[in-house]
This record gives sequence, structure tokens and C-alpha cells, in this order.
Amino acid sequence: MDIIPETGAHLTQLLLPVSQSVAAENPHILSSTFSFSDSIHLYIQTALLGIISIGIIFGLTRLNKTNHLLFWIRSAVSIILAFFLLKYGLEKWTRLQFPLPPPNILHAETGSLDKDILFWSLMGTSKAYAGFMGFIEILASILLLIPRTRLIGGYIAAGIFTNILALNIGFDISVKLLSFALLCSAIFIISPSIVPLLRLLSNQKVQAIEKDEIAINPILKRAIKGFAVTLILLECGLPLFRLENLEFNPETIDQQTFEIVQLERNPEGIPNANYRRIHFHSGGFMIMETKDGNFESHPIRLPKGANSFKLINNNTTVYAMKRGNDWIFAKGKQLLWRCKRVPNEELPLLKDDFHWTVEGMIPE
Amino acid sequence: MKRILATLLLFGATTTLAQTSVIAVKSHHGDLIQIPESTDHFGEMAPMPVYDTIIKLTNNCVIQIGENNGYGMNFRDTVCGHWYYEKVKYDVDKVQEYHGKDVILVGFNNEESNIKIEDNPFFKRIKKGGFPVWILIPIILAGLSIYIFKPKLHWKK
Repeated sequence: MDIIPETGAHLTQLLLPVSQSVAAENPHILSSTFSFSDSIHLYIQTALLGIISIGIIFGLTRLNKTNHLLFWIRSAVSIILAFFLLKYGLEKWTRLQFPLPPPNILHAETGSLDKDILFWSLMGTSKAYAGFMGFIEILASILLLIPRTRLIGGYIAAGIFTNILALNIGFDISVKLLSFALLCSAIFIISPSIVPLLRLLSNQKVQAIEKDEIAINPILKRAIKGFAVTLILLECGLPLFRLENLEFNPETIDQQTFEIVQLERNPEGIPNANYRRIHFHSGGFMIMETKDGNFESHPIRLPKGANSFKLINNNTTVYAMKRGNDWIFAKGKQLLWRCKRVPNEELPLLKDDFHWTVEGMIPE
Repeated sequence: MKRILATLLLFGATTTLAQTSVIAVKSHHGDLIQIPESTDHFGEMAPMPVYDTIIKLTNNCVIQIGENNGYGMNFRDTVCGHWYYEKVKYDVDKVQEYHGKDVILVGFNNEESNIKIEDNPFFKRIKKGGFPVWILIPIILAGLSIYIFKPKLHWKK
């Protein structure tokens, strides 16, 4: 969160003791994962809030007060939905979501990858599709924020989240609960129009949908809406102004792959194995690929733009130097590996080839 | 009460923006036992470092001081042979342009360099950092005020 404070993270922590006493999972693991998507705590919290909500709705129905709340709840749900759609729409455009696959994934065998990481990586290879999905999400978000087009936005959002939920279930991606909640929110927004729409499609008489309206000072209404929309725009837009990224910079080792042509010795902390390639992951990992296709991940501290890194587990500093076409990795004066840079940017998966015709794919 | 409820709904929902740490761990071929230690957000890219000060130590070494944006962790790295500083021969203007105006440079020279960022085929920048966000504040406040008080302006007419 950049602008909106992480109030929810603190509120959710208050319910953690409930999950720790109810769930069979280790309490220490629960305290680390409580704010993760699809965590046990999130499921328990959702169930608890669901029960409380049913109680509140039951009480308000008895008091005949539900109609007054519907306007507020529908408006709040529309804004929440618009926020998620705008944030993820913009992130798809800027590739903060679905970035280029890391080098170790580019060199892993397809069959060795789990469905979720394979799907995530594949999405990162097509700018066009990610951009299209982002555009649809931004469009739905804008339509949801305008009262007159809220229903259209709601229908588009329902389509988007049905697809996302199906993907999350089909590819075992751990955002199932969130996508289910967002789909329910979209259905809640369009719910007054579902029956009239079905009647319209089956050629029956349709009555106008009743508008959720409530007597409220127009200035107060605009102030609340304006404040919420401004917060959303800032929260979603500010990270884009700060966005700065280097891609496949052949002068640095970050996000690169190196083929080992001479293995002199491995530094302390790296097993004495016969390695084929070294991959540098932007999240601060050096991944060693063995000749039989296994990958070992080692945490490193690699400052941006630097060609020296520290192996975090044993504090060893390794220097990388470019000498002609070779890259020399050394610890002090001790040569470790002599390598060739692998031009990942030339891999077929990363080429934006496009063909309208089959004939265009046949090599000359 | 209704306003509080609506606000709580809005803020409460943002907690679910936490991460799929599973994708983050799998993306570097990590062990799934590391999931509780992961802090990544929905498999997004690692947060960008925000530089505060760069101190030139020797002819080819600097100290970079800043914060890993997103995690709130400070860093203080000694970096020798930085590819870009070497290319621009530690030219103060070029290094300033590279990191943005807000970064404080200490101990850099003022010698001219003929290497430009625009001409550098290795320097692929999506967007420059250092946008003065404060410029947005008066625009936002003015826009918000016009939007909120529009009914009143109509009424006065």
C-alpha cells in the first residue's frame, strides 16, 4: 500500500488468536502466513465475518432497516471492486503483475514446473494479452465508478472474475478466496438486474429496476465519493510514477544467465557439484543449475547495477568481471567460474512474433 | 455508522492484497518450506531500491545508502566497479541523472563525460524516476473541491 494505510492488516491480526486456537496448523506458521492470500487464517476470518454479517442482516431485517444500508453497501462494494480492477489493470500494463519470467524459469523444462508458476510465467511472455486484460479491467473499473454505468461495469467485472476464479482453481493459483470474494461482489452489484435481464432475454415484460437512493446532502455524498476515488487513483497511480526498471542489461549480472565453461571451484556455501549454468533472479537469488537439470537457490545481496554480490548464508563476496566475451567470477584472487552470457532475450519464448497467416510461419 | 461501515469495508478488503508467496518462492526454485518467510505481493516484481545518498569512496568504489522500497529495509552497500559509474567515469551530472535529482552525491568529480544515457544501448529505461509528486497535490485538491462543491455552485447561479 502506498497511500491507503494497511489498516486491514492490523485488524486481521486481532483475529489471529482465534485461528491459532481453532486450526490444527502450527501457531508459528499461522502467525507468519496470516495475511497471505488463501491462508488458513483468511478462510477462518472470512467465515467468522460471514457469520457476523448474517447476524447483522437478520437483525436489521427485523428492524426493517436493510433498505437504508443497501445504498451504502452497494456503493462501497463498487468502489472496492473498482479499486482492485484498476490496480491490477494498471499493473498488467506496466508488467508489475506478470513480469518477464526469471532466467531460471526460462531454462527449466516445462514438464518440471508446477501449473501455477508455468501459467504465471506464460502470461509474462505476452505483452499483448496482458495489455488486453489490463485494458478490460481498467474499463470495468471506470464503468463501476460512474453510477449510470455501474451495472455494465458490474457485468464486465463478473465476467472477468469468473474467468480469474476458474484460472485460479484450474491452475492451483493461491488467490482463490480473493477472486471468489470479488466475483461475489460483482454478482452483488448486478443482482437487482439479473431477473429483469433474464426476462428481457426470454421476451417477457420488464419493469424498470429500482434505484438504490437515499436522502443525503449532495455535498457530503460527493465529498465521500471524491475522497474515495482520489485515494484509489493515487494508490493505483503513484507506483507508476516511481517505476524504474532495467531489462536484460548485458553489462550487469542481474536477471542474467551464464553458461559455465570452466569451473575452477565453488565458493563456500555452494555444494561441490558439476554445474552447467548460473541464473541471477531479481528477488536476490543466485540459482545454480546442475548438468542434470536440477536447480538450487541461494540467497544473495546484489546491489542494483553492481557486479559483485554477497552470498547471504556465509557472507562470501563474489566479483563478476567482463573480459571480452567471457565473464569471470572470482572470490578475491581465486577464480571460481569462467562463463559465457546466455542471450535470454533471443529465446523464442520472448520474441513477439505474430502471424496473420499460416504461410507466414513457413520458413523461406 | 453507515459511513464507518462503508469505510471499514473499504479498508478491510485491502488486507487481501497480501501476496501469493507460493509464486514468489517457486519463481526462484526455492523450497516451499520458505513460504512463511516470503513477503512478495502476488508474485509481483521485487520492490525497487530507493537511493538516498551515494558516497564516492575511491576511484572505483562507492557506498550506496537507501531503502528497499516496499520492505522498509535500509541498505548500505559498498559497490566497486559499478557498470554505469565506470562508463560515465563517475561524472557527477551523469550519475545524478541516472539516480534522479533527489539522491545526494558525495565526493563525485565534475569532469565532463561524452557518454549519454540516450545513446547507451544497454540502458533500457521504462520510465525515469524522481517525478515531483507534490505537483499533483494542488491539482488534486482543486479538482476535488470543484467536484464536491459543484451542486452548491449551481445553486448559487
